[in-house]
Amino acid sequence: MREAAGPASLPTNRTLAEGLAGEPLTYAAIVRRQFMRNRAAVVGLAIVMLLFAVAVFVPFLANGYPYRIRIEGQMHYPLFRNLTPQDLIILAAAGCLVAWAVVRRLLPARLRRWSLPVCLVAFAAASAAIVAVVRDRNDRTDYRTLAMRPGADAVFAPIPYSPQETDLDRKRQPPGRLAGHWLGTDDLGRDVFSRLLWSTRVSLAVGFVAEGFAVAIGVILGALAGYFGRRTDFVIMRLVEIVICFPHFFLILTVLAVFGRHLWLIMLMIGLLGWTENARFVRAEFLRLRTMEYAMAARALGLGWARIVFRHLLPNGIAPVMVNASFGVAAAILIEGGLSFLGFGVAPPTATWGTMLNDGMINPVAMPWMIILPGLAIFTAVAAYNLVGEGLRDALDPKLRSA
Amino acid sequence: MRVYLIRRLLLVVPTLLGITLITFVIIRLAPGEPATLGGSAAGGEAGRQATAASAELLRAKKELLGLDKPLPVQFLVWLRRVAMLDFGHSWSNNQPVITVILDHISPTLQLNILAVVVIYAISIPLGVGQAVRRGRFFDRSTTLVTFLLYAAPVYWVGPLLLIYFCNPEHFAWFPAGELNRPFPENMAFFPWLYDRLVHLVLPVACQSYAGLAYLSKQTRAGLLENLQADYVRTARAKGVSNYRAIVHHALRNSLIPIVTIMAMILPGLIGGSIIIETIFSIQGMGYLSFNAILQRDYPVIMATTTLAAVLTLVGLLLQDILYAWLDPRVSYA
Repeated sequence: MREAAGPASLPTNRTLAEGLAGEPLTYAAIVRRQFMRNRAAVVGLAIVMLLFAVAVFVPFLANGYPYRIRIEGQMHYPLFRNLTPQDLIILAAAGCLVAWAVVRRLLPARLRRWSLPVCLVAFAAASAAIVAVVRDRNDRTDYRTLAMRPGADAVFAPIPYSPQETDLDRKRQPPGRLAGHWLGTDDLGRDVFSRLLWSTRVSLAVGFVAEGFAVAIGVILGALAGYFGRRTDFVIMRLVEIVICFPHFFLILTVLAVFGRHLWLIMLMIGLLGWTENARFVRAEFLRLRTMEYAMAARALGLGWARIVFRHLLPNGIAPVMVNASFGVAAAILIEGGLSFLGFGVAPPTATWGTMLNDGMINPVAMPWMIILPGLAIFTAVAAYNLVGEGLRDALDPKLRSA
Repeated sequence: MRVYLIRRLLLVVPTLLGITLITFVIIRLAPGEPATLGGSAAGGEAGRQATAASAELLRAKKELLGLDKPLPVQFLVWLRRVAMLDFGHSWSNNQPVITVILDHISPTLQLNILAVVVIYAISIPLGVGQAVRRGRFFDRSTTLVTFLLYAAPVYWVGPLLLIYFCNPEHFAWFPAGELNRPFPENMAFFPWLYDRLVHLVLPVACQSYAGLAYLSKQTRAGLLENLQADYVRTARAKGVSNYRAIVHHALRNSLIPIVTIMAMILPGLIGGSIIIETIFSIQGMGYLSFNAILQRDYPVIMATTTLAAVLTLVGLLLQDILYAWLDPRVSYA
């Protein structure tokens, strides 16, 4: 959004003066401060972080296995024993991320650049160990019945149902009618709340991986086009035009219909069709950056083009891509939802918000909660990512910067 | 200008070739022998029996469909046919693809044209109001509402509208799905028109609400820029009324990007929304292409994809040309 440029230039000076007087302000610090002033953007960021927390810790929030249960005098911990390798890897990834964020601040500057590789190696080792050791146990014990026994002393998760657990005696119950099923059950008697929470994983994964592809392709092609210009630019821009022209949703549907419904294929296709905006932004930045003195200096030093493009110019040209990426994540979530809604998403019984909508469309009038709730979840996630994107864009725009 | 025009037109050629090449490659990459799928008017079952019955028949059919030639030759054949708008026969009902498309185009066209009119009719006045009352309650609240509408997925809003506005339990204001009551051919013209419009209300609402945010934002931003301009101050200074200064002086200059967006939209009118047409059971282009996907009706898939891509390309071209034509400040020497 472009506001009037006039009065906004004064406060910028004040920010600079402040920075000169106190600690030196880095560009990132200015942007962060600007972002934090935007209340809507902060709300969006909070929702995004909440969704992340849910995606990581969902086995502890909604699970049919009890945390602990006493059977014939002996204490068992089924929930922990039944965590799948996938659950554990996600937990390990989150742990490494948090550890990295904390450790980075504590380390002296000299060691700081080693923190990321060390954390990545730690994560790789942890995942390898998990894959080698942990097996899916496929435990079919009926803990709910066991918990009824006297002295069972069972503790269940807040939502004591797994997302795939069917119960045909309790199907199509609206929210609030049955104790325990707070948000009702679906056509097969599965708990809606549990499925909603587990769906965050697929949505976040699709959003981030798909947009990750889009950013990777867009940045590389955009950087090459902008840096080399001429024939490279011509070819890449024609490619951009070709991709823009195709009907994206229809093309993804076609590919899924032909090659089958695989999650990675959905992500790949969204990425393959969604990189054009990123490429255009990076290209525009590079057209400007390549004429800068430091680019010339790097060339004069005899550095190779790859080093100039990716080490020297890219860090200065990446900001618009970050803005576009958060909109891209929202768009990817929307597309995945639409595919699942039409029955072309992730194969059942995996819960995603879109497949839940698809289940609800069996009889929307009889089960309105199966439409309202998953749709609300998609809406919230999409709105949150868009808010973050708008906040980032405003924070990066020096014209809007105020003290 | 003429040099620019020629250069811009020449740029279309490689893109066009790329588009046709990619559609061709996608279809060729698809696993499963197209010749064994569908093909006869009787449908897929007969096709499969034929395969089982005789390999000779299969070979004959391959030859008929041109599948026995080397790939580059097949591509050239495909290219020639695209240029002549000859997309062959639909494999699901053996009619020429062009006829099938023409059969489905009118509902989509009606839906999309109405939606574009609605979007423009709402978002231009809205953007003007927002710009005039910048930063005030009206501006903030309507910006928020359009933002939220933009984030609301259509496959959520559509079913919700069906649940709450086509349902005697809540409000039975609109009919659910289809574009007419049964047997529309027996109706007189005006009752028919009324019936059609009532059926179109919800689909049009679904098709248009997400577009409001973008267009009103464009209008608002463009108008804000111009309201600050010297010539608007001059107009006000010479005693032109506030309304006239905004609408006749400032708005006219901020309409250029909005008009060029229109050029981009127009060719897209024939591409139907698969989701909306599925929700409201409208048998338009979206329905046609979705069914083509479900039945692997390759000629129809290729025709709709190619058509949509080429028309979008035309839209991009129109947009650029219109922009250069409308705004004399832009030079493309």
